[in-house]
Amino acid sequence: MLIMLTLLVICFALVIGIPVPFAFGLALIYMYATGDHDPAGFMTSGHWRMNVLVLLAIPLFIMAGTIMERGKIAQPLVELAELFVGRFKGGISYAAVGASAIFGSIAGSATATLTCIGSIMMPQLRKANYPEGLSAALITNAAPLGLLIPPSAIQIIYAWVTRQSVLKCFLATIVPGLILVMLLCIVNFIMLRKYKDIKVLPPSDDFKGDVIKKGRFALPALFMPFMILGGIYGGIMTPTEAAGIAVVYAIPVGFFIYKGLNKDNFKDALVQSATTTGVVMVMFFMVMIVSRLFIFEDIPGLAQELIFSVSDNPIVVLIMINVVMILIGMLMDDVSGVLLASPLLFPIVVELGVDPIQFAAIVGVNLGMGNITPPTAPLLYLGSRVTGVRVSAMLKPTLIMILFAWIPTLIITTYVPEVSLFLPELLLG
Amino acid sequence: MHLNIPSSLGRIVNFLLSVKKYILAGFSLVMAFVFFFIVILRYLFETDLFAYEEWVLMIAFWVYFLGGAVGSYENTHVKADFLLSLIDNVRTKWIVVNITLAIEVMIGLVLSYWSWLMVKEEIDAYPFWQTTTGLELPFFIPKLGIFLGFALMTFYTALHIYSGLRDGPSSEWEADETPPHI
Repeated sequence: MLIMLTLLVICFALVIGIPVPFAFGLALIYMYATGDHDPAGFMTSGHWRMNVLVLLAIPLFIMAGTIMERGKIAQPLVELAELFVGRFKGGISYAAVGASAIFGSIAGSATATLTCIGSIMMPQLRKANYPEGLSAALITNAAPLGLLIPPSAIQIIYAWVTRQSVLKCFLATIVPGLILVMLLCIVNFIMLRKYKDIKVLPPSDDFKGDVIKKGRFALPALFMPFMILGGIYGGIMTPTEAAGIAVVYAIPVGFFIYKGLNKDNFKDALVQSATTTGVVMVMFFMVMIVSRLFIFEDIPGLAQELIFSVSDNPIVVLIMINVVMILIGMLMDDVSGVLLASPLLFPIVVELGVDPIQFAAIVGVNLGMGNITPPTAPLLYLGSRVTGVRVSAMLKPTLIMILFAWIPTLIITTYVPEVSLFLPELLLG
Repeated sequence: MHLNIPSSLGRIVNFLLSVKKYILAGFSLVMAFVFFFIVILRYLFETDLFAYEEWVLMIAFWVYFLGGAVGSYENTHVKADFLLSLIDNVRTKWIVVNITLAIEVMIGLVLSYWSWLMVKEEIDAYPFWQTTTGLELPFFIPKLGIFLGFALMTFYTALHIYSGLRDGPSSEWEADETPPHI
């Protein structure tokens, strides 16, 4: 009962617009007022839980993403993608999806992906007569690819909470990410059919020469995923070290090759990334304290009992778990969602016989979808700001994409374990 | 970020912000370069940096909580904007925002007090306070960062209320404090 009321307090606070860390703070106050807890211990437990090196990968990947965004590293990636698909109807929008996937493999953050790709692609889509609402929705729906294509901050948190291999969790979301890319492109293709006046880019006179020229210019940007992922999977460095190296590499590339960085905006980029880090980690701190109290009160055990009392059929239980995660995703952002959902639902899926690595992919897809699903939908609102398109115009195409791209991806990831386990088993055994 | 506050208070706020921004930029760079040098030291010099994680994590806590404080100043903490984006009337929005800000300030005060209890526990234990095992750095350092972070978050949230009350339900206030309309 206490927990139900605590969850209601959190939901109420979130719905009236109180920021996530303060909403969890309110829940903590409520638990203190109705329970027998030492308030000084709350903060100390938050400090101990966060005092681990692996979590530093999160601020460092945020920093790398922000520096790349300011360093205009996405521009050559977009140009290269356009060269291949820009001459087909809908090609520029496919380039936006492809560029989001590639940028996701560099930045590890959906926000950086959306800001970067959205600000470059939207003016071009507008100029080529693409429908505004659909284009903005597509760019926004493609942004969570930053969470699915490794490196991913969410997977680092999941692996840390559930004590799984970060490397395996990174690999688990790649195939679901690629399925999502394909489905988003198909939905976009169908939705674009009724628009007859969409312009295409003129075909290149010297395609091979252009590929070499633009490919060479994009090489320093394309080298980043190889360096980060190669370093991690080659056993050369940890994810945290790889994130630090990514920042140090992005600085000269942004300054001297793509020339987006200068001494004025460099400090701004550092402050902006530190602010984003602060926003994420303070939220992390508060959610950790509340989730520890939940574990202390054996909420995962109670949730397990409750779910298995409804049914012990794995298919039904997995549907219920997905519904719970979708609801969590609709109310919270991805970081607080994974922090709350993982300890709560992990024992249930393990009991069901679901591989913890497959569950990493299920969590990733669910929370990616939650990011674009109202009421919280941080990416939907950010997408509206970045593209200058009203949320109302983005809502219908977004819901269609959720229905025909996200939910099928989620169903495939949930019920076909090979989709998420194939790569980890192939590469890591 | 527009805040309608008296210039004397504005000068203090700007000074605090600029100090914080230099600390954040400097500490962020230190965090990134440490890991770069760790890899260089390991592969080129086959050595390690002794107990580096102890001071890097302390720096990280200051970045987390000062960054969170700047987030409160810039009003960028993650929140569900759904309710506000459904409201048309600026005055209604102004009332709702100021009520939620007031609740935030009250929560912030409690969290600041609890963080202070944690810091006080460390102060009371001096000179036998808890330290890291390698470099014997006191845990008072990151805990002070946590307390200051919560205190500054509360202060900046209170400034938003003050500024909002001075502004009234104006279009300038709406552009700064509310999400785009659905």
